[in-house]
Amino acid sequence: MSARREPPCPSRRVALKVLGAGAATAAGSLLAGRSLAEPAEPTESAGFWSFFRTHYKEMTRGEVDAMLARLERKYSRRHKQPVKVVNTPAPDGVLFGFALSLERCKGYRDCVHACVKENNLGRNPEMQYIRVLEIDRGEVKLAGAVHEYDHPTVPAEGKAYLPVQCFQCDDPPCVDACPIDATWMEPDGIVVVDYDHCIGCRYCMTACPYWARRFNWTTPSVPVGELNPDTHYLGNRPRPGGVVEKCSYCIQRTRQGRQPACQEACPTGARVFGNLLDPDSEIRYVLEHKTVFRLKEELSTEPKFWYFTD
Amino acid sequence: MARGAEIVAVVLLLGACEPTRPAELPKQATGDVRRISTVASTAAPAPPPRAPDFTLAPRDAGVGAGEYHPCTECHEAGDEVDRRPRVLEDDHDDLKLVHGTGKIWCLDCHHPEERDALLGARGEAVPFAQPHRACGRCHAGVARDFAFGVHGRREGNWRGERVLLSCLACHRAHDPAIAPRRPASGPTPRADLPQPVHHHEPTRLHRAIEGGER
Amino acid sequence: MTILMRFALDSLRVMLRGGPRYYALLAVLVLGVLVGLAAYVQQLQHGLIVTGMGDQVTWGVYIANFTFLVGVAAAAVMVVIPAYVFGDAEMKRVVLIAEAMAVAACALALLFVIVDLGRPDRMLNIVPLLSHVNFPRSLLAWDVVVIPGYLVINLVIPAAVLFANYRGRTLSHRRMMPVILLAILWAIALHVVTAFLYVADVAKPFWHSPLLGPRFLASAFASGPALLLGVLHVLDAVTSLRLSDGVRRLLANITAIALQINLVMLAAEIFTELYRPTEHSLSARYLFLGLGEADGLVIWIRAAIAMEVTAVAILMVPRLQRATAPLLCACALTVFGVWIEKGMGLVVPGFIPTPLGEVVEYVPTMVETLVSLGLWCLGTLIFVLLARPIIAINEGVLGENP
Repeated sequence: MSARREPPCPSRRVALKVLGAGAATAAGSLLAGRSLAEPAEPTESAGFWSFFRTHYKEMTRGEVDAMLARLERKYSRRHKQPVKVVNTPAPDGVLFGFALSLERCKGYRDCVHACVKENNLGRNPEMQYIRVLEIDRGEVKLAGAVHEYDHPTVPAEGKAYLPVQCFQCDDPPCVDACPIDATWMEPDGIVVVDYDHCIGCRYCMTACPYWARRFNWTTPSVPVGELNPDTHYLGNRPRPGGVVEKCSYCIQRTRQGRQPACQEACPTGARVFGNLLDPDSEIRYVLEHKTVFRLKEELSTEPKFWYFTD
Repeated sequence: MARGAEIVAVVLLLGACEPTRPAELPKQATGDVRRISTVASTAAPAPPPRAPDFTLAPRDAGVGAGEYHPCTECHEAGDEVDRRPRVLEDDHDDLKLVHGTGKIWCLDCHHPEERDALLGARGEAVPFAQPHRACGRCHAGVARDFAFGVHGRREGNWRGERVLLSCLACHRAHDPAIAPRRPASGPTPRADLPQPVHHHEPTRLHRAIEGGER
Repeated sequence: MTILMRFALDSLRVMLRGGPRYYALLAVLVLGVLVGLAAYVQQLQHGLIVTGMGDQVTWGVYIANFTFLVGVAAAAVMVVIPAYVFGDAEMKRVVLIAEAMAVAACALALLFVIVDLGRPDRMLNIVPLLSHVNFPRSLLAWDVVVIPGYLVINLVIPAAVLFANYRGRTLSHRRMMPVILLAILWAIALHVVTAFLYVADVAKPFWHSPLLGPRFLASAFASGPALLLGVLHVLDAVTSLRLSDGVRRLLANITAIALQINLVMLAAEIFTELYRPTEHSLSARYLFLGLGEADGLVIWIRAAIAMEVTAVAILMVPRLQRATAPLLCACALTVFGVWIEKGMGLVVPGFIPTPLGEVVEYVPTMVETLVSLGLWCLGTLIFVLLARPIIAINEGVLGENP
């Protein structure tokens, strides 16, 4: 359970921060392109002031609630529609896992676009969490896979399709890489990013062997009216520019018991999602009865995403 | 036949990249994922006794939704039934039975006496609304996967009440193969950066297999 | 007024006063910094989208420069060891210059990381002790500890030595030794940590090689002394500082040997990658041979190897090594060769192809180039300003009782 820890010693922390921040106030504000007089809205993308913010995992419930309310006001104003930001915690006794049937995936890419809409991915240029690779039948070789395939109809002759997204590794190299704990694995196994803490060094991106992380090279924009207003703090809420993001197994849906958007969009039912700790779950049925493999298993990253065949 | 070959091909293809059955995963590890794999290894290969309960999602969309006409509109109960497989020339000439490539005919799936029903695994009458029970007559493995939510699709949630898509949400009964179609648009490379270069070198083996000679 | 204050003010005065040529140099450097700053403001306004980096190649010329500069900073030990540990009198005369170069390189390395950040405004999030730092798991967190630490060490030791010289005294060898040893170990650690930043990356087979750490050290100990030798030649020509033959010979020899060790290791890497190329060798193939149409770095890396080989050839012929022009030429070839080889030639191919096999090349944009040039001007400026009082005090022009 993600029982929120109380901050160990808030006063000392604050004191240290004030000391350090005093010296750097001018520089920080300059960099953020803001005046010194700007009031603190700590969790807005306003970077410099976010330094005064406690790390998300150490916030008290009151602090989190106040922050979420502030974010809701801000997003609603900006997107001209009511936006909800929740932080539903990880459900007890749940470890999320995914399986994908290589026989049933036909390369339609419906999952890619459902994901873009559900997760409010930036459209300028369009960010996509899922990459569907077209590979030659007879091999599973990533080098030489075609990413931009476009045929009158798929599946194209002699081709197979291998969708790749964040596998929520159980031993994630990206989390080790982050110098500031801006990304971590939640108790339900989802690797999340705190967009208001990330400094955008992109070391996590280099560390990912599955090319699952994306960076906001500019401030991402979603056209007014196209925003999915049901958002999670660690998931699909609108992101600031200059930070890293990734697939969260649709944390905003799955933590409420719903299926992820890609599963829902798959026209062939190739995607199986569920609780790895539940012996009666679909995902466990796959692991126990199908031939499965994981990508780059030799790297010991322990992806919680299996490809299977009947 | 072609599909069978395809499955074999995929299995072979996976053999080349060291498929790991759950049972073969290291057991000494501590992570949750490995723990599951260990559990899996002790559970396999005996099939679980019974699939959890499910209901079918209402078919308000999908292949052939809304095209249903009760057979009893014409075939009355008690009519004599000609059980000989034959080409239907007078009526049903609009029906093209692609399913089974000529090896099956109407009464292999439709109940001969109860005309508004399908034929179940033990010859029992199965309502049209429960097609998986009829399909399971031949496709037993698929039917089991379906019941466990692994073939087809579980709708809406991953926990709680299980609602599955009906077989007919994806497959047309008389022509079940899913028609190929155009894929949705692909990735959008940034125009201001160098464009992706496709680099693929067929190996000598590749060329030999494709060309049919060395 | 305490002596310390006078020392500081005197140093400052020397920094800011000089002949017309000195002012012209400062003006050029400041102009360069301003141009870089203007480009950086562009980047701050629009985000890193104005760079040539993208989701495929996520690090570019900034991190390449960072890597090279950390090596230059670490290479100061090649002067520190003979000067302080072996008490070589001639090296002692230039050791402060070497340390000033380390300070400038260190500061510059840090700045190159900062301009690479997507959210430089959140920079304080990474300050150790003040924030939530993922130490010791993240190698980047190690770098954040090691680089400022090295910067401080290289500011404190020379400042103490210089202050003592200013007062006409010398520091006791015994009292300095522990700090000197710390500085030496720290320098090695500095560069090994930076190498491990790459080596730790299991996702990038091109970097995930145990040879990378030693290669980093060898190329650093070649490029650092070569750069210093070039700089000392310039200082010899335009200031009262004199470059003795002994220093010249020692630095040239260090460069020659380190460069050969580097080339041997490079050859070993090339053999390992290309004898039976696997899928993990694709980055090396991209770098050295090109992958089909994608061959942007091939000419660069081949030029770099040619430069390093030529530099070795010059440095290993005593007659050429003794002559100024060939020696300076060898220094320049070494610096540029290593800059290419362990900068762009190391960072960029790691991303090509991506872990999913996509091949997208990288070309720095004008903004990136200008920001980089501006930072190099800033680094040079820092070095020039530090070198002024060092030379003035060491040559006896400046002191408590000059």
